[in-house]
Amino acid sequence: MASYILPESKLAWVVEENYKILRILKRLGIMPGFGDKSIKEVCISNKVSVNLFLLIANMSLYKEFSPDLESLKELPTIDLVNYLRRSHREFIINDIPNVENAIRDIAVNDDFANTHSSVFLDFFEEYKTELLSHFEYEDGSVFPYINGIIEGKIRSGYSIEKFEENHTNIESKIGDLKNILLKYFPSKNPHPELYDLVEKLYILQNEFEAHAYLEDKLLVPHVEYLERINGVVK
Amino acid sequence: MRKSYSLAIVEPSVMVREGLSKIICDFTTQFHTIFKFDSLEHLYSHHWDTPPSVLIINKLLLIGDPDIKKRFDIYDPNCKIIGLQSSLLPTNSTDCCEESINLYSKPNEIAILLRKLTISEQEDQNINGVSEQYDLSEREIEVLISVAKGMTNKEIAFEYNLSIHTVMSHRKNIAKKTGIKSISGLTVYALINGLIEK
Repeated sequence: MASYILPESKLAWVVEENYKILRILKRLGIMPGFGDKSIKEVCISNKVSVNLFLLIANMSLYKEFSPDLESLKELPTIDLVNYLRRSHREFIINDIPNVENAIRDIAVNDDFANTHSSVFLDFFEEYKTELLSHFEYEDGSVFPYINGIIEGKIRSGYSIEKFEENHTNIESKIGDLKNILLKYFPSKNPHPELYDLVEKLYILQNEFEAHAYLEDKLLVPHVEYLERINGVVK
Repeated sequence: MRKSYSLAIVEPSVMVREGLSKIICDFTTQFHTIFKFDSLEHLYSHHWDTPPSVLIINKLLLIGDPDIKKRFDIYDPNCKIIGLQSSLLPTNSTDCCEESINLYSKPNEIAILLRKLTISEQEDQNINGVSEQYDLSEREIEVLISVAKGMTNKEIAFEYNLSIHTVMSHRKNIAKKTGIKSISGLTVYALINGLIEK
C-alpha cells in the first residue's frame, strides 16, 4: 500500500520518493532551499495551506487517494483555483507547444512530408484547439463563477453540477496519438526522436489525468459545499 | 519473426568506418553484427561463421579487385554489395556494386537502402500490407472507413444492413484492437493505412 504524504513528512524525502511533486511545488509557489523541513514547516514559511498541499499532492500522486469531507470544507478556495489556473497556463505555454514542436520536427524531417505529415499536424492542431477552448471555458466562466460565490454574487441558473456534467475528458486523444505514433507510424525510416515525443505525451497525459481528478474530486465537491452554505439555487 | 542480418564495412578511414557503423546502429534494427575492416586483405583473411548479407566497401579499393562479388558468392550468393564513394570517381567503376552511397548520404537514405536490400518483398508486405492489418476483420475495416468518413452509427447500420448494436460492438472492437478511440484518431489511422484518401 502506498504511504501517503503527511504533514510531518520531510519534503526532501517526498521529492526523492516521487519527483513528480516538483511541478506541484512550482505551481504552489514553494521555493527551493527547504533544507530538512517538514511539509508543515515548508508550507507555513511559504504561506501555503498545509491542507491544500496535502490534498493536491496526495490526489495527484496517488490515484486511489480520496479527500475526506472535513478537509474539503476547510480548503482555501482562491488558492485551489489559482493552482488550477497556473496548471492551465503551464500546459498552454510550455507543454502543448513542446509537443507541437516535436511533431513538427518529425513531420518536416520525414520523407513522407507531402503525404502523411499534414495528417498528424492536422490531428494535433484540432486537438490543440479543443484543449485551448476547454481551458478557456474554465478560466473564463467556471473560475469566475466560483469567485462570485465567495464574494456573495450568486448567478442563478448556473451551478457547478452543470460544469461537472459537461466536463470532457481531455486526455483520451493523447492516448490515440501515442498509439498512432508507436504502433502505426507509417514511415519506413526509423525515427529515434519519436520515442522522445511519446515520452512527452506520457508525461502530459499523466498531468491531464491528475488535473482532471483534482477538478472532479476536489474542486467540484468543495464548490458544491460552498453552494450549499451560500444558498445557491440550482 | 523478422530475420536478422550481418553487415561488413570495408573502409580504410577509421573516422568514416566508425561513423558509418554508428549511423547504421542508430538508424536500423535488422543487423545483429557489424564487421569492420580497413582493407580487402583483412576482409579476405577473416573466417566467417555467418557471412555478411550486405557488404559496404569503399569504391577506391575495388579498383584493385573488381571481382569481389565473385569471391563473396562462395559464402553467400545473395550477398549485396554497396559501394561507398569517398571521392569524385568516374561512375564506371561501379561494376559489381548494386547500390552506392557517398559521404553526404543522409542516415535515413542509408537506412532505407539497407532495408530495401535485406527485406524481401514478401516480408515487406507482411509488415505493411492490409491483409495482416492488426487483425481487424473485413467488416471492422468497413465500419472503420465509414467512421473515418464521418458517418453516424445509424447511417453505418443502414448502409451495411446491421443493427445499431452490432455497429457499436464493431466500434468497440476497433478501439480495443487499435488503441484509438476518437473519430479524428481513427481518421488518421485510416489515412495512414491507405484505407481512405484525404
